[in-house]
Amino acid sequence: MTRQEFIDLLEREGTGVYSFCRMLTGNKEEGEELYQETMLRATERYSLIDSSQNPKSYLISLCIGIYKNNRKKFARRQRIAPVGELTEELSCLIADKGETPEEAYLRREIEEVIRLETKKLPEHLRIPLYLYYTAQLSVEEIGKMMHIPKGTVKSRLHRARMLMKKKLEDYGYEEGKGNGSHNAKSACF
Amino acid sequence: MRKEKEMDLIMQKALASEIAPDKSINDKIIREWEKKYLSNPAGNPGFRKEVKFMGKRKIGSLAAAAALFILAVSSTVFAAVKYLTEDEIVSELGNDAAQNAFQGEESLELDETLEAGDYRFKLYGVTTKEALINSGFKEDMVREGGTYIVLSIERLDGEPMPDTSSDAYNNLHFFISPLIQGLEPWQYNMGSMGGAHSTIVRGGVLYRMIQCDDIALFADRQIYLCITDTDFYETDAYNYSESDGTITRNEAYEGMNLLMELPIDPKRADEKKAQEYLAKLQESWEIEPEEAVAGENGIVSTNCRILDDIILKEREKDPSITTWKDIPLETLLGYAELKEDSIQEVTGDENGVVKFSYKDGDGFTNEIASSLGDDFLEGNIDVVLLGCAYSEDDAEFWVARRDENGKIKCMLYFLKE
Repeated sequence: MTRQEFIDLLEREGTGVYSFCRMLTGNKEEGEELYQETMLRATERYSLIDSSQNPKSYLISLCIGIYKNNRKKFARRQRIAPVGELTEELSCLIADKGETPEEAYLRREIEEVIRLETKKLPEHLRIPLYLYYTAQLSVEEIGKMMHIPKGTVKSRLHRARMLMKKKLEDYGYEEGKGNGSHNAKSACF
Repeated sequence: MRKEKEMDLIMQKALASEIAPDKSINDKIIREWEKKYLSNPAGNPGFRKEVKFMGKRKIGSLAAAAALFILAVSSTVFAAVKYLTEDEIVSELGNDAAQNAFQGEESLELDETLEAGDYRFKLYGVTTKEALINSGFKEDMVREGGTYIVLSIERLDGEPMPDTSSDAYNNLHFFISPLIQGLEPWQYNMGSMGGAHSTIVRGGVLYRMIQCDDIALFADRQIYLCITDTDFYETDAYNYSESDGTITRNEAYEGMNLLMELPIDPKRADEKKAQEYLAKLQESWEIEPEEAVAGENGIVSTNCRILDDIILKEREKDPSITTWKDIPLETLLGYAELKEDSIQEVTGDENGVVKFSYKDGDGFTNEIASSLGDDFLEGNIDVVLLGCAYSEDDAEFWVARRDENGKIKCMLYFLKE
C-alpha cells in the first residue's frame, strides 16, 4: 500500500469507521485509539481490502475484531470515562428542520437515552445495532460479518429495538400520554 | 404503544450520526503509518514498500559487500563499475574477509544488463545469508535464512545517480523484487516476504543489495526479478497466468516493467519448507482470533447464562471441559428442546453444504447454509452441529442428523432459561 493509497483510504472511509469506533467504545479517547489501530492494521491486510467489494464492511469487521480482542481494556477504561461526552457531541450535530425548540429538546433527550442505553446492551445485541444504524451496513452484510444468519440479525435488531422501546417507556417517554414535562412534545416521534 | 417502525426511526436518528475524525488524528495516523511501514516493509504485505532511507541507515558492511561482490565475481563487471576502487570499498567495509562474499557454492553469479527508460540495470548475483556470514559479515543478520540480490543502476546519459542523502534520491522510485511462479505477484513480493534493501552510490553508480526471505526454497519453479519505476508493486505492469502461474511483462504497460529470470539452482528447492514458509506467511496475515480466556470458575464464558451453567455442570463431571464446544454434542442437546416443527429433510450439494430454514420465536425466518463436514459425509458420525447462536438468556443449535435410511434431516434445538 502506498502512502497516497493510505491517505485516500483515510479520506474515503475515515468518517464511517471513526463514527463506528466512537459509538462502540463510547468515548473519544478510546474511539480514536480504536480508529487508529483499525486503519493501521488495515494496511497489513491491504490485499484483502483490495479484493473486497466493500472496503467499509471489511474495515468495520477488522475494527470489531480489534475491539473484541481488547475489550477488557476498553471495558476497564469505560468505567472511568465521562458517559455524557459522546451524546453531547452528537446532539449538537443532529438538527432536524422545522422543529420547535421544545421538540428539538425532547428529541435530543430521547436520543441521549437511546445512546446511553444501547451502551448497556449485551454485546451480541449492541454490535449489530451499531453495524446497522451507525455503520449503515445491510442485514446481509452484518450476517456475513458476524457469521450468523440474516434472520438472526433481524431477530437481534428487533430484540434490541424492543428493549430500547421499553427503556424509553421506563424513562417516561410514552407516546400520546402525559409524562410530566415530556407530554407536550411526545408526539414528535 | 410505539410501533417498531417508529422505534426504527428513533434509533436511526440517535445512532446514525457521522462524526468526522479531526484532521490532527488522521495526520497522527499517517505519521504512525510512515514510522511503522516505511522502516519495515515486511509489515506491509499489502505489499510493496521499499525502504528509501535505508541507503543512509544501512550503508555499513552489507552495502559495501554489494560493491565488493562486483569486484570479486567478474572482471567484466569490474570494468562497468569504473568509478569504484578496491581501496574505497575495503576502507568503507573495514573487513577484509568480505572479499570472499558471494563466492560461496550457493551463490549465483550473473552478468545481465537491461536498459529501460533513462537507466541501465546490471544484475550481478544472488547469494545467501550463510554465504555472507561465512565471509565474515555479522551486521544485520538477525533473520533466519534469506536471499540477497545485488545490482547496480546507472543513468544512460552518463549523469551521476543522486546521492542517498539528497532530495533527488528521495524522488527516485524503483521497485525491485523477486517474484515466484505460482504465487500471485501482488501478494507475494518483497513487501510481504521480509524485504529490505541497502543502497550506496559511488562514482555516480547506485549499488543496491536487496534482501528478502529465502526464495531459493522455490527454486523448482521459475523465480523472477521485476523492476518498475514505482514505489511499490505495480499490478498493471505484469501479467499473472492463473493456469500455470507464470509471470510476464504487460507489453501494453506504459511505464518501466523489466522482468528477468533468476536461474537459481533447482536443487536448492525444498517443497516441504516452502509450504511451511507459505503457511506461516499466510498465517501472519490473518486476523488474530479472539483469545478465549477461562475465568476464575475455570470456564470460558459465553455471556449466555444458561449455557455457562451447563458448562459448569458438565465441568463438575469432567474437569477438562472449559468451553461449550468441549461438551459432547448429544449431552449438550440433552439440555435443549427439539423444535419438532423445524425438522426438514435436506440434501447436501456437491460440496456437502445443506440449507434449511426455520422460524424463530420472533417470527423471523432464519436461513442456514452450512457444510456437513468430512466426518459426517464419510459416515464416521451421524449427527453434526451446523452452527449456533446465543444471547444472554437463550441459545439455539442447528443440527443435522442421518436416520437409519440414510436420509439427512436438519433441525433446531432451543435452550432457554
